[in-house]
Amino acid sequence: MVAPLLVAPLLLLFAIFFVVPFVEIMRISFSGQGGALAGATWLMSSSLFAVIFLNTLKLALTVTLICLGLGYPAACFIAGQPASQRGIYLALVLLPFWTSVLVRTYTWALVLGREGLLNASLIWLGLSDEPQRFMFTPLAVHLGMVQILLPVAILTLVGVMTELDPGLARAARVLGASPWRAFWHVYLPMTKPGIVAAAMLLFILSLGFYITPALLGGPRHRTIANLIDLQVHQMNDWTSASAMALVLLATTIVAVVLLRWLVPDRTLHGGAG
Amino acid sequence: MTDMTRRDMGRLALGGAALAAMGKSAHAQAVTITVNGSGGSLAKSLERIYEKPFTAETGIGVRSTAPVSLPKLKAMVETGNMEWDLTEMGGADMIEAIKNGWLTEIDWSIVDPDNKLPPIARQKYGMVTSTFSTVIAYRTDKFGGKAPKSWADFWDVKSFPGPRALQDSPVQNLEFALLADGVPADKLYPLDVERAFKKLDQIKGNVAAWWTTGAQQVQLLVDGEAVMGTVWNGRVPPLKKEGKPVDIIWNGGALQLSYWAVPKGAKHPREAMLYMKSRLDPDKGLQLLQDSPYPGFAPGLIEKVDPELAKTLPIHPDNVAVQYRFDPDYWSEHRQKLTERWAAWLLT
Repeated sequence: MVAPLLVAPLLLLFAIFFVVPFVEIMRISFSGQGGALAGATWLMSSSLFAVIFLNTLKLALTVTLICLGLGYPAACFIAGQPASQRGIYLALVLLPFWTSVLVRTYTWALVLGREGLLNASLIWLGLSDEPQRFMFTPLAVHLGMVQILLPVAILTLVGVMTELDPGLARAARVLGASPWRAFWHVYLPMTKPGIVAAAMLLFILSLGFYITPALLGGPRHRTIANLIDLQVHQMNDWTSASAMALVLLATTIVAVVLLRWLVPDRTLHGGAG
Repeated sequence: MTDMTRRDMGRLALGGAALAAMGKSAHAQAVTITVNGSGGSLAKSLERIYEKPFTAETGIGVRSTAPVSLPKLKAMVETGNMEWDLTEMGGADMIEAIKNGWLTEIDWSIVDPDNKLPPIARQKYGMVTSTFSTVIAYRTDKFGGKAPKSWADFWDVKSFPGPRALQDSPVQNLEFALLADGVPADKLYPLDVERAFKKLDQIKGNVAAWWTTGAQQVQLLVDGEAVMGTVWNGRVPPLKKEGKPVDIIWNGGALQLSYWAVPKGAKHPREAMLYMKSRLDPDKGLQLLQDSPYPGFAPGLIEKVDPELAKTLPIHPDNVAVQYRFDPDYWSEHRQKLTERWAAWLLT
């Protein structure tokens, strides 16, 4: 009898701040001036939406892969430390994680600007004669997003890796496996649930990124979130904006389902699997 | 322990009663109106020059909010939850808001009982509060003593090399492109959209940044992210005073009006209109001009302005002569389609 009461506050919060706005968004997207299908028609016919949607998917995918590529070795390293020292390394990862996304994004603008730290260093080192353009490039967007999301990757992976029995990889080595073979056939498969969980989180978070692409990429590197903002603020077209919000949600759900299907539920939560 | 609790409870009860009494008396005395404007550094000047004296005189409190936003107005009208009593509005937004019935008619017997405002400033749903221009600003230290003079020079990256900054919007940028391409200022509308985008193709690669806010406009210039860009005229004089190497060109600027309007469903429309009236005081207008070169049509204001300051105003005759008159009607009608095309154009 007590259990339902315990989740009641959460359910209430969820109902007020997710279900109600969501139903409203559904209503707006199917009740535009041009009829019930105006939003859907716009989605199907707009080349703007098609290009930006694909760009957003591509961006989310590359950022996810880069974060995994950089985060995995770092997580291995941290998980391999004695428990007493792990805290220090985790703190180093958490520190930027606790800093506001806005602050970190602005800091990148300062570093990458025409008269910023990076250009000043390049010129001082004699590697470049004049300032290079880093701001408002795909490079800037990727850098910013990877730096913001990397802690998510590392923390998720460390969580899984510290649960593993280090004896298993050692056993493989003792039995004659090369370090590479022990990693590839023993360690990596055991961390697969961590990789999938991290990928899922990273991809979903990347899909909805707004501030970082807006500030570091500008209007030439818009994501779906930025396009929704444009629709609402510049074009006064809430129907299309709502329709896009639904597409974003649907994409997220598809991504979750796909990953769930790739890795069974039990291993996602079971840690050592 | 019991004693403590009892005493605390006594204090709490007393405090509560006092609070309730205060709240009651404050409520009985006066209302507070919510005035929505563009915020920024100007908010302090407005508080000093208009809001505090208005409260002292009428007992009506003024709470200022920002920013100006048509979507927010729409949302508040449609949900019946109107937070503002008065809001600033741009020209094209004004037309959109009137078309959708989001505004209350102005009672001119309250705002301008002696009928002293020129007709252009007295409209059914709004009062012109200020005039401003979008103009070219440039770094005076980047072109070896040469100064750009026109939109053609803005496009001329050989004579005036360096990155440019433009607003992320087709509004006015299409006009600027046509002016650069040699279309006379009085023959701009209806816009030749194809020709404008073709001309914009030439400059796109040199535009390092597409700004979205007023603060960004000057930041880009000061940081050196751009050597030439568009700004609202009032953003540059304070920088010049600080000794920053920036200046503006009036030639080819877009002269625009901004309005005060009372939203539909405003809780204190009468008090809001009284506040509008207080904004027509020419002496206060003169004070505000020191901080913000965006004059309105307050009767008797322009005669009082110092000639040196007058030259920096959008409505100085010399400046009016070289600018074009922005057409909000055209943009209200075409903004949606052209913004979509603009956003797609930026991606390529």
